[in-house]
Amino acid sequence: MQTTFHYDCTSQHVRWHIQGLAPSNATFTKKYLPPGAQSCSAIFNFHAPPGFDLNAIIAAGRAGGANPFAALRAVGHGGTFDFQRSVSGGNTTFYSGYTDASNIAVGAYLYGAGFSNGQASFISNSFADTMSSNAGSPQQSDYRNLGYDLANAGWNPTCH
Amino acid sequence: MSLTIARNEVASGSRWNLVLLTVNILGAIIYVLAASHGWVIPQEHGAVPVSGEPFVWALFVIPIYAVFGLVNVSWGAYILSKRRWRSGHFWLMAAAVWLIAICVDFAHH
Repeated sequence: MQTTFHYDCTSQHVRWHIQGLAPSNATFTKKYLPPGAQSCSAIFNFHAPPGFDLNAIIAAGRAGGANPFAALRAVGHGGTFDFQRSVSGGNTTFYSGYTDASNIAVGAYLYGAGFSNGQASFISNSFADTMSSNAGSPQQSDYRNLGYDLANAGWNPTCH
Repeated sequence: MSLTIARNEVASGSRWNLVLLTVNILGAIIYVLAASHGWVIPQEHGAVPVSGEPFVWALFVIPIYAVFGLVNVSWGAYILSKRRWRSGHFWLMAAAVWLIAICVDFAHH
């Protein structure tokens, strides 16, 4: 099942224009998983794209550190490890089945970047509680913590 | 002679106030542009939980908050200690600019 939204609202157009992300005829499609998705296991079960490698995410975190542009490219909207969003020509496909893998990636990236799990939780919880209209579910922090702990333990999930 | 010195001091003070106000306006614009990287995508509003957005947002804005917080607290302390109430008007304008910028940012999350 998929849902497609076309936006033509002026205020939304202005928002997009400020963000510089998409032309006015961009589409947003929501799907569960793309073909070829893998099932992974590491305490929790989750889906990940082929080639999911926690070590690569940790390495990106180490290289990026506290650089916001590096974080944006890695775990920001449509970033390398934002597996849940596939952006092509301004059109976004959102794979809800990859949300857990994206949150694991955030945890692993923050570990690599040198943040403590407490700092990560503080930022995320403060953001969700004070200003986010898309406040995170407990599952979000569970999987982010899992990513952080797996990175800390040097344990890469097994996927097939 | 002393009148001339006083006039020069006032002119110099106004120049600094204008510079600081301009720097604050530019800072607020940079803040909004930087913070926009953490804004929710309009189509996802209320439908998709956040993942990396809080961290991207925090990494962009915390340094801006820190720098301008320090600048403006120092500026405010100077105004209070020297009782330069005219400068206080510029400081209040800068505060209003930041309030608007923060409201714009928060309205997009």
